[in-house]
Amino acid sequence: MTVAADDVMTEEAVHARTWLCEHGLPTGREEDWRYTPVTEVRRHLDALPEAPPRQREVTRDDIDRLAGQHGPVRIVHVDGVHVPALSTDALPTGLWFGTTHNLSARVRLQLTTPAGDPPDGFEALNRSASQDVLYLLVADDADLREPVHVVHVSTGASVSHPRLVVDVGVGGRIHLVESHVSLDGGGFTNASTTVRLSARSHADVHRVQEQATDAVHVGRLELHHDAGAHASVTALSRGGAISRLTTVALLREPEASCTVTALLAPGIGARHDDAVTVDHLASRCTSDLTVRSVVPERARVTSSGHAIVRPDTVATVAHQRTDSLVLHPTGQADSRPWLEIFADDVRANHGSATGRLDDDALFYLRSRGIPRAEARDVLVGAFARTLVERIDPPSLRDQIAGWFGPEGTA
Amino acid sequence: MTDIVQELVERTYEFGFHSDIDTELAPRGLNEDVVRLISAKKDEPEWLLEWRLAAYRHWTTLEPPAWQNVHHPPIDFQDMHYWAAPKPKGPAPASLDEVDPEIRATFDKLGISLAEQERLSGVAVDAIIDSVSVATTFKATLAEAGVIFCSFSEAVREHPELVRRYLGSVVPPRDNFYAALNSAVFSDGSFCFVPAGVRCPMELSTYFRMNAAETGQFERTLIVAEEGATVSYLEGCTAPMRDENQLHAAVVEIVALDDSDVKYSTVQNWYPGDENGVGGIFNFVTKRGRCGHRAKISWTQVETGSAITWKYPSVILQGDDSVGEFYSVAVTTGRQQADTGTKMIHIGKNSRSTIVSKGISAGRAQQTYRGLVKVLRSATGARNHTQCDSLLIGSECGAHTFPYIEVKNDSAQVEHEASTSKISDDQLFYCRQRGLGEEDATSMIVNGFCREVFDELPMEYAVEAHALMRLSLEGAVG
Repeated sequence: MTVAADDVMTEEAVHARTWLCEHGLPTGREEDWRYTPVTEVRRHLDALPEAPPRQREVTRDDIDRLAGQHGPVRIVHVDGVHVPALSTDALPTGLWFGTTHNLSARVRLQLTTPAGDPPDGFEALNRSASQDVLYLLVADDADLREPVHVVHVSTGASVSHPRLVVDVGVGGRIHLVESHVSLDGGGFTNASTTVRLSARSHADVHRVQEQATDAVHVGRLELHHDAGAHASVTALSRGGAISRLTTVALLREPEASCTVTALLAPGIGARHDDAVTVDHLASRCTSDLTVRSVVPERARVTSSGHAIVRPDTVATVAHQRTDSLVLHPTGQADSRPWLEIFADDVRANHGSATGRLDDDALFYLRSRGIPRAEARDVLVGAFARTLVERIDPPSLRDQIAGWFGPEGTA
Repeated sequence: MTDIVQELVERTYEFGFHSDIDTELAPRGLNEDVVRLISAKKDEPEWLLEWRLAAYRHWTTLEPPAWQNVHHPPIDFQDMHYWAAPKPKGPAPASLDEVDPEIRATFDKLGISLAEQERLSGVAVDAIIDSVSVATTFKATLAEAGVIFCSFSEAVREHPELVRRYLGSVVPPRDNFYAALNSAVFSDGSFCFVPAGVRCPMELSTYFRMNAAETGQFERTLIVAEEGATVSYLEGCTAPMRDENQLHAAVVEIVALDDSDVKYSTVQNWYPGDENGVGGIFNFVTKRGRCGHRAKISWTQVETGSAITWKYPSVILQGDDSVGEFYSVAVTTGRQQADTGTKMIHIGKNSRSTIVSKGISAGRAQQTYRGLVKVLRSATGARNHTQCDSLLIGSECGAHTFPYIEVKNDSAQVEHEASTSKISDDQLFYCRQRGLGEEDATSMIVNGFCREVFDELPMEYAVEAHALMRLSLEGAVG
């Protein structure tokens, strides 16, 4: 039986909704969610209206102010709906863009996620409730080094489910900057991004979460790698009273590789939970995970890394490194660096360190006449700099470096 | 390597013999009557019976835990005997010479010659078969120093005030499913009390032997070191080869009061089952110690046996400047499964802990390190260093590392490092170009891998641990 594209879309949403009705949202008793304050997340979700009318108009100035301009191409999604008036018309050669409403049936059929079970309740909710999915297609061998900036804006105390699907053709390359920002506070964002990397393709993904300090953000970034594909992911998380980001890289074919870097800098009293899973499903795959978190007063940051090496794979390399800097006696840092190895031809390791600012370094700076607060900022900035310096484009690098200055959260 | 792996998988279990000892069994299954029967057999006081019954009633409300990374068919807790004891052939033996010769022969075959131990080695041994203690050596010598070392049943009779004060104070009966089960039906075990300021004059040792079929073994060990006391305690265990799985659910509690030092070493060699995974012991154990100010508890374990091992020797670092250590070598071969590790709970200021875990997985075995380092708000200046390394031998085995690190105090320094790999071709090549055969080279590399832990074992057990390792990896390490 031939299934029309519209039916496929409906089928995916219906399946996700059915699954959600059966399984519900995760609870804190589930291992993957034990460090996320799921009860508070659910309470927040229940208290807000679903899919409300846009709270207020969003202007280009708002976007510039909230998310910056990080490339010639900008695509804006407000409360989960694409806004052409705020987005770039002209696209570079080799890049193709569409949404649920204007995409041809053939392309939608190609891009629709196979109607398998959602991995968790929040992804099921996103699949079933997302109003306007954004699709980015990169043609085979297209080399798009200039960033494509996708901005998701939450306008107020409402629930939104932004969804982005990126498909990179064989030998293609894309540089994606994805920003999540809030125009007003109190919103709930349940975001999902899927990046499919065909053979020998390459994706640089910068995901910036800088929502309002009282917002709740639940996000999922899933990467599917074909043979020889490489993804470099940088997750930068600062906003939200509660933020949970799940990153999953599926290295499905030989010689796929993945680098995941995360910098977590929540505000005072916030809860941030960052969970990264890299599944080495084929031989000669490599992965490298680096997480740094800065934990201020009453904040709690959890960093989970999970490297899986499947049976019958060979020559796998998996590294993980987690460092947490606790700035206040009431801050809490949790770390869960996991290795799950089912094959012997592997080199896997992880390292984790948790501590506060080095007293000697602080004393040294103060003995040079630098005030305590400034000395602290210098040392926190130095801790983050290793990761900040890797950020490209420079405009985004400067934006993130600003998090750790005198005006920054940390 | 293929031949080595094959030999490794086909290794035989040296201690799988079965002794023909007349055994008394409780009726199959578990209910309040069985709990009362066990208590009556041991002539226990009323408070202990009530303690058991409360634990049993709580146990009936619990489900077996399913979160651990091991797989086994459901255990039918009503299809086993909860009490098995060698039938006494007259009054209780007053000395070793009066112990049933068959029992003594059993321990001789295990290399734990009770008489020889008493004469030569200077190690006090409590020997336990199935549910009861059959002999304890050196009691008089220890008594001179004020050290109480006896079976748990004897401690209940002779020192009820001590038992009542400390029993369940570290592992309460409601702690978890198997701790509740153990609290309801525990049969015997060892009790050790070292008074304030006393350095125990010799190593203490308990040897556990599971002999009867279709039984579970539920021993309970309680060690109390008063202020400034020092003691080193060793335990070993074996069981016959049988086609059915047998359950071993023990509880070990250590109370280390201020300035005391307790070293607890284990060489665990329960029957691991055959090459097809048939039979073997399910070893589900709760071990925990509590440290007072400046006290130290050190767990050292060499785990080579059991079809399934599930245990996490832990330390609650309650006192300021207290120290917890965990040194572990776990070897799994054939179809063995192990989910083991430790918990270090930092409560006191400047408390320190060290974790060194070495896992060797071969054949089709699956091994998991699971650890928790928790620094509470009060633990100013706490420090932890964790190192867990896994070595894989063969392409069908697995090694997994699941650490949890929770730090609630900004002055704490917590470090964790782990690695998983096979024996590298470069290492093997280097050894072989120096003239070593492949087996000798592998042996040397594996021993080097484990040395950090073996160095922590008391001399008596270091020898046994080396021997066990050689047996476990027979073929691979020459």
